[in-house]
Amino acid sequence: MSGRALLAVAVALVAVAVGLTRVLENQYYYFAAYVILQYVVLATAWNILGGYTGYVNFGSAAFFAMGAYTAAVLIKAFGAPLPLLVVGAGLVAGLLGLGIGYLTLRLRGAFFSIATLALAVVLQTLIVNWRYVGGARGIYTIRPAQVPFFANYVELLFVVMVLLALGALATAWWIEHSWVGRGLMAIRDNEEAAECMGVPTLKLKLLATTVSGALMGVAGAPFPYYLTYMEPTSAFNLDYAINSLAMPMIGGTTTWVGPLVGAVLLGTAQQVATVTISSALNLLIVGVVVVAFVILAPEGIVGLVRRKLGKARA
Amino acid sequence: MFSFDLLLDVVVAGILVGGFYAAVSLGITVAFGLLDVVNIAHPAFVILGAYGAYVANSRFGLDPILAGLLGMPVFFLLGALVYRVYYTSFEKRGDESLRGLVFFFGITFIIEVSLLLQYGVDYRSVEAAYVGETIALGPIDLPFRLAIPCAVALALTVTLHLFLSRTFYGRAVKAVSQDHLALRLMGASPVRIKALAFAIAIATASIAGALLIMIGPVEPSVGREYIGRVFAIAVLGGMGSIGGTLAASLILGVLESLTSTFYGPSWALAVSFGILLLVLAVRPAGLFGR
Amino acid sequence: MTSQVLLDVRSVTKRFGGFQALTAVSLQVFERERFGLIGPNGSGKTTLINCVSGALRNDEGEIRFEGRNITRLPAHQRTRQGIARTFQIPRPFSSMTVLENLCIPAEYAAHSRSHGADVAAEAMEILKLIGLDAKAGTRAAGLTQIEMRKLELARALAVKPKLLISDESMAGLSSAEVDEILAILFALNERGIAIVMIEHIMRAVMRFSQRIVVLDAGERIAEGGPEAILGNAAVEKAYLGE
Repeated sequence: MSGRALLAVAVALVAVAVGLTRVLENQYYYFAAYVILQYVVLATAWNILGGYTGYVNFGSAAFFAMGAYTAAVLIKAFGAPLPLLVVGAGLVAGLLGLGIGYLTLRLRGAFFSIATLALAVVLQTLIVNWRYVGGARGIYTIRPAQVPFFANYVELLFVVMVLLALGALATAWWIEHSWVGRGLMAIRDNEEAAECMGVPTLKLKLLATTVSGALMGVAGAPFPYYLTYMEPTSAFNLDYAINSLAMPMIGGTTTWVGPLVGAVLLGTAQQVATVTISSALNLLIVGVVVVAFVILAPEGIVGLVRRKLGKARA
Repeated sequence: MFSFDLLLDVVVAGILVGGFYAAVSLGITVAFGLLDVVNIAHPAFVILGAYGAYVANSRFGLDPILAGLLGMPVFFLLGALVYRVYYTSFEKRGDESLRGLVFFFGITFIIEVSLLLQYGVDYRSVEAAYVGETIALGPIDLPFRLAIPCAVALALTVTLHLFLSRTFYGRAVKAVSQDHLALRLMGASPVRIKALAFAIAIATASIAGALLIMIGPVEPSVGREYIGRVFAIAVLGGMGSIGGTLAASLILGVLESLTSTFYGPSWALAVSFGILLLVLAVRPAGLFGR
Repeated sequence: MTSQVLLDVRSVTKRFGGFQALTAVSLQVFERERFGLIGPNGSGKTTLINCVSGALRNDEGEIRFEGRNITRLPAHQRTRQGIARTFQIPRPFSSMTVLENLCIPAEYAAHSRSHGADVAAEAMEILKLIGLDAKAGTRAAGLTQIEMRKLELARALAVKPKLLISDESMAGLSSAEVDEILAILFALNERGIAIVMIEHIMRAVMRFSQRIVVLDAGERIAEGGPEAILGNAAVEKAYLGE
């Protein structure tokens, strides 16, 4: 699909989303859709570093939570408007990505991954000890009373998340089709060879880490408003850690479509399942499915579909 | 008020806990240091071992250390199985980095959430007659709760060291990381040696888990703290060196103990993370590395 | 017309922990030269090449290219200046096609980004020269051994190098295949590229090289034309032992 066709689809989707808010009254759907869209952003962000570049980030929760807490601080200190929250969250999380990258990306990929694991634990500790954001007791955020254009604030958040998701997908699409993406994939396939072929591997890896981290932070920007009461366990939730890597791994890591497919499928399944099974069992199933996919179908659903189509043509 | 006695107690506690950390880290030294398998799931296996000791202790009244020892064959087989899957799915395909990591992360996740489902978030602990006592050696107080795990850990460390340096299979394990051809000429199959080594690494998790639950109560997410610790120790100790692992564990134990006492327990985790980053930045070969 | 010095390796030393892989090795490669680098296994040839290409940093000594000191430059910048290398064990970008494999160096080293159409056309030119054009759309992972070696050379060529280092491109190939690779290397040299050949296949080295340097245990033990090297006692001792 050409870039222009995709842009048209995106605009149409926004229109549909806004249209829905006029018609659909059941708030549950907006809450559920918000979570799924959030995962579209997280999965897409993860994949830029994981699928395209080959570096595994286990600490998505850290970047997401940094974004959420940055937003919370901006709201508390300045009463900042939503666009500023998004920018601020993106900046802080992006810097975090840059920092971790700078410290570990000169070494093996495994060390980067281990550092992201440790990072999540440490950041959670820091937040728990930070009284300004309520520490372990959490922080309350009051949604604005005046909501322009929409019936209530949750519907606004839903449309905002649609925009953020489309933005993330657009970013991934652009990277994938540009010289940046080709360089990243060369790094993924064989980093030493890429460096010898003129690819500035360190710079590109840092770029990927920063963009990926920033997008994850952006996903967290509206979170304080969404939850209204946020405390560290919900921001640093186990769900984020496993889902942001499960969704691209299941959907497919080589293109921007994979994380989207994974997020929508897995996210919807989880929303349906939470009503029937416990969240812990839900997570267990995700874990098992990820391991199964990584062993048996490493190219994900997109890969399987491609192979089927390839066979059909042959 | 600064007190020398307090400092001494803190340092001693740090040394004892550090000794215990060695037990936890040995598995990583072997798997990551010698075999180059980034097994981030090792702490999860340790927690599994801890719960194994808990069940044996609460259900059958077994001494936790005994439970840990009895669990070793089971964990050994588990480790062999996990390595088989890892090898066939990833190492053979040359795909190890991304997918291997995800595989182990998935395993960590599965173990932690399964324990959560089965036992909930409550802290579990073990009962053993000697755990609550303390022995005094001059000015030093040695709580058994810490001293015994430390002693067992040291015994485990020495045993592993002897195995690696004195026995045929142990030397084969050391060789396998460097020279497949030489190994073949020695008459050993590299894959089987690696599976053996990995299985041993996981077996140590059984004892380490038993020791862990003796030191303090556990709940499923405790494993996460240890990921940073064990890799910090592995890197600081120079990847694959048993002696280095022990030294690094003691250093980390003391640093954490000092930080925890003078700055608060929640900062202790930052210590291992900080050490990890520092060592990687300054001297990736570690203190004793090649 | 005297040739300029293209690559100037000055007293390079490289250590790995306690092991000294290279000791004060010096050599010069001239523009358009056909240069052979030989020595027994473990003599440090690949280590030296890694130091020149930037994959490793030498501990002592200096490396100059076209008169400029490149010792501190990261590998990708050295490539952009015109140093290309192949790998002993081929390292293709396995998820990409043969053509895409060439587009990477063409895009990153030869030009500064994009112009998608130009890059692809250039890459096809190179594939035709090397004899891989039929496989342009094949995924790199599905190539035969000799095709992979050719791909390595093709990729190195896509860098538009002034110096190309061929690291054992012929190892494990049949006699006919060796001749194929040799023909390619001669053709590349015709185009003005200085070539450093690291090989164990003596007949190829002797036929190809104008000058040869011999390494043994990290030190340079001999230098000269093929005839001189063949008759050199020190070289014989290095290869055959006492």
